[in-house]
Amino acid sequence: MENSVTFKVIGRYALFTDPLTKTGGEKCSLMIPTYQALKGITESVYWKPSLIWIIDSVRIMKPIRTEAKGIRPIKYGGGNDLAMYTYLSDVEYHVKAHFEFNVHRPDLKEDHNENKHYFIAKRCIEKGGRRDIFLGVRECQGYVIPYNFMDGTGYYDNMGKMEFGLQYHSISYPDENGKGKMIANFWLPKMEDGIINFCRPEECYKKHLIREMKAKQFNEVNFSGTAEAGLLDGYKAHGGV
Amino acid sequence: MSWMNMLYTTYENVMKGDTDGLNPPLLPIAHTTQNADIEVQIDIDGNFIRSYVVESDKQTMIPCSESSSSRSGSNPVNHPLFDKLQYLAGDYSAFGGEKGSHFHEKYMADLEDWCNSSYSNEQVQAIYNYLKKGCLISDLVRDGSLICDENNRLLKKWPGSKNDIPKIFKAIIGEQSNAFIRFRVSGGNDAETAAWQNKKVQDDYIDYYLSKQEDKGFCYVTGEIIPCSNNHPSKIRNTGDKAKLISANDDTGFTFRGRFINSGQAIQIGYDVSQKAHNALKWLISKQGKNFGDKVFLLWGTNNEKTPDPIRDTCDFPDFGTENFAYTKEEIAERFNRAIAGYKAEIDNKTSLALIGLDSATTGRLSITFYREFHGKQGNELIKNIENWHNDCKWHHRYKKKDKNIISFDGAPSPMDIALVAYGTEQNGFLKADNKLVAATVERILPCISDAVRLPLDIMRTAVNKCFHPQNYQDIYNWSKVVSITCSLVKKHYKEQGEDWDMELNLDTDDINYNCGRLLAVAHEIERRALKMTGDNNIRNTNAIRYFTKFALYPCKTWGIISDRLRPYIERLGERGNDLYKLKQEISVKIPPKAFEEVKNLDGRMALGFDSQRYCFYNSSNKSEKTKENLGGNENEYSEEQN
Repeated sequence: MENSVTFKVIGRYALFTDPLTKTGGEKCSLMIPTYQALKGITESVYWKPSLIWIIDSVRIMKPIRTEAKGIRPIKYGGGNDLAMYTYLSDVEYHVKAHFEFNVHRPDLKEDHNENKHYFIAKRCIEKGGRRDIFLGVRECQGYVIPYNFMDGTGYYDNMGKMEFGLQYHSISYPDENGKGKMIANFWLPKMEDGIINFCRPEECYKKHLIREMKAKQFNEVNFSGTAEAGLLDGYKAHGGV
Repeated sequence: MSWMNMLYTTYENVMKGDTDGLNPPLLPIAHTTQNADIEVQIDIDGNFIRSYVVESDKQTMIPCSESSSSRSGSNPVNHPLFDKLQYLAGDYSAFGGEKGSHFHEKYMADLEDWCNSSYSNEQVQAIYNYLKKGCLISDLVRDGSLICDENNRLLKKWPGSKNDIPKIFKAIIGEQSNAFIRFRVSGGNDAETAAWQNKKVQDDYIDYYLSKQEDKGFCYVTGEIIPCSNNHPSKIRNTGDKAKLISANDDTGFTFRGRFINSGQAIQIGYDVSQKAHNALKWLISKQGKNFGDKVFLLWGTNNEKTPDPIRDTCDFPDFGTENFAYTKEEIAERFNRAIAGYKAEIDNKTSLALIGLDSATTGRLSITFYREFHGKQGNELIKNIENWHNDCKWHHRYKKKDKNIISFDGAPSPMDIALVAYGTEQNGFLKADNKLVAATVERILPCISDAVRLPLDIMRTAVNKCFHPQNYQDIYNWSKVVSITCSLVKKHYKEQGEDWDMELNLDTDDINYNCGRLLAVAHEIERRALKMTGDNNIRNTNAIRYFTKFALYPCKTWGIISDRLRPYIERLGERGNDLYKLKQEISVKIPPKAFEEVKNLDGRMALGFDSQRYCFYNSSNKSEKTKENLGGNENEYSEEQN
C-alpha cells in the first residue's frame, strides 16, 4: 500500500502571481512555487473527486531568476491593454506529493482504493500527465517527468537556510474543507538546501476568509456514477458483469 | 521576504535611527510634499501677524489623508491642514474665487473634528481659530502678499510691466487664487514655529488619522488584522509620476475577478504598511536609484547599508564624493578595491539586500521587472559577483570624460556604454541609441553582474560586428571606445568558455584570430609612424583601418592588398621601422600559411589581438615620449589621435 509519488516538472517560464501585483494587472511572480500551484500541477497529472492531493515538499533545482516580458493582454470588453509580466525563467522543481481520500465526499466511498489510484497516478506521471501542465499561469507550459526527489544536483543544495516572509500558501475550497467557505491560507516558507517542506493547508500560520461559498452538491439529478444509461453497454456485451 | 516587506523593514530600521540628517528626507506616514506659495504667521490666539511670499525652500511637508493624497481635478478632496486658498479662505468667493464655498466648509469641518479630538494640538487649534474668522484673503491683500484689482477681485494676471511684477506672480504657477498656504504659529509653548516642520503636529496628525480608521482587514504583507488601504501612493519614480505599483481599477474585466468578486478579496494591505513601504521606496530611488528613461534600478539594504551601484563602470564605481582625485589608472584601481572591501565590511549575517527594477508599459501602472534578494552570506556573493564582473571585463579604456580631460582606466565598462556600443550609431559625434533599447539591454546585462549569469551572446556578437566597421565612425575616438568595450565583452565571453585572455599582449598563443589582429595592428603602426614622420599632424585613417572589415572577412586576400599599399611607407620609414618589420616577421611565423589561406570571418579574438598590440605600441611610445619630454619636450601622439 502506498500513496506517495515524486516527479519533476520543468518549464522555460513560471508565473506564481504575487497577490500584491494581481489586481493591478502587472503580474510579478513570487520567488518560489505556491502549494496551490503544485497541487494544480499534480491534479493535472491525475485526479479523481474522491481524492485530495497533499504536497509534501518541493526541491528547487535551478537558480531563482526573473525575466520581464512585455505583454498585450486582451480586455474583456474589447481592445487591448499593455502590461509587463515578470516570470521566473528556466525552472525545475522536484515535487513529492501524496493523496488522501476526500472525507467530504462520502458518496464516493466505494472508490477509496489506494492501490488502484496509486498505480494510475504512477502511470499518469510516466505519460507526462493527463491534462495540460502549466506553471502558475496558462502561458507557462510545463512538462512532468518521473523522477526521484533527491536525484540530481541542485543549485541550492549547500546554500543553507533561506526565508521568504509571509507568503500565500493555498486556497481551500468548500468541497475539500467542508466548511462552506473559501479560505486563503498564508504561511512562512523556509527553504533549506533548496528543499521546502510544505505544511498542510489546515495547519497554515494565518488564514483569511475570502467569502462564503457553497460546495456543489452531487445527487441523482446531476450525477449518476457508473449507473449512467448506456455507459457500460459495450462492456456488458463483451461479457462484463 | 516579499519586496513590500523588505521596503517596510527598511523604513522601520531607518526611522529607528536619527532621521534629521537624512537628505532627501524620509516622509512619515500620512504625509506628502507640496510647494507652498505663501507663508502666513499667526499668534497662538489665532491673530494674523504677517505673511510672506515663499521664494525659495518652497517644498513643504504636509499632512494628508488617503483620499487627499490621490485627489484629482474630478475628485477634489481637501488636505487636513495646509492647502490652497479655495479650501482655507472663508472669503474666497468674495474675492472672485470661482470654485464655490463648499470646499472651505468641508475643510473647516474636518479641521474642527481634529481640534475636538483627543489629538488636538495648540498650533492646529490656533490655525483653526484664525481661519474661523474667514478673513484670510483680505488679510493677505492688506499685507500685500496678494494683489487685487479696482473691483476687489484677485488679479488673474499681472497687467503692468515685467519690471515691477509683484513677488506672488513670480512665485506662483497659474492664478493667485491657486496659492498654496502654510502657517507659522508663534507665541505658544513650542519653540518650533513652522507648523509644517513641527514634529508634534506631525505625530498628533498621524495618531488622529489612525484613530479615525475603522475598516480593519487582513493585511497580506504582515498577516495582521489592521486598518487597510485601498488607495496606494503614486509619484514613486519622481514627483510627476502617476504610475502606481498597487492598483485595482478593473471592476468589469477579468484582471483579478473570477474566483474573487472584488479587489478586496484578491488583496488587502494595511494602510501603515503600504505608506511606509512606498515612502521608503521613493526615498531610496531618489537617493540611490538609477534611471534609464522609464526604467529604474535600485539596490538597497534593509539597514540602509552602503551598497555598490552595480551598473557603473570601474572608473565611477567607488563613491568619490567631492574629494580631489587624480584619476590615474593606479588610483582608480586602488579606490575600486578599497570600495569593494568597504562594501564587504558592511555585510554580516543579518544583512538583507534587494535589487529591484521598475518599469511601466502604460502611464498608470508600474511593474516590477526585476527582483532579487540577497540574505546574509548571499550579500557577500553579490559583492563578489560584482567584483568578478569588473575583473572579468577588465580592459584598458580611454573614453571617460571628467572636467574636459579624458581619463584612461583599466576595468569594466558600464552596461549603458555596452548598450551604446552594441546598438548605438554615431550621431553628431556621439554614440546614441534609443533610450528604451538601452534600458532593455541594461536589464539583460544586470543578471550577468549580480548573478554571474553568462553574457548574452548576441550582445557580444553585435559589438564585435560594430568594432569590425571602423568606417561607420567619423570620430576615431568613438571607434576606439567601441574597440575597447568590445574587447571587454570578448574577454568576458571567452573567460566563460574557459579561455583566459589577458590585457597584456599574449606572445605565446597560436590562435589565428588573435595573431591576425596583431598583424593588422603592426601594419597600422608602420603606416602611422611613417605619416607622423612627414610632420602631418592630421593623421588620416591608415590602410589597415580602411581594410579592417574586409581583413576580418578574408584575412589572407586582404593582407595582400594591405602589404602592397604598405610598401611606400616602409620605404619612407627605412631603418627607423626595423623593430616593426621584425615584429611583423615574428607574427607571420606564428600564422601557418595554409591556415591563413583558409581562414575566413575572424572572431572577436582578432579585436583582442589588435587592441593589445596597439596598446603595446602606445605604451612604449609613451615611455619614450616621456624620456624625450625630460630632454626637450614633445606632446603625446596617441592622445592626439584619440582626440
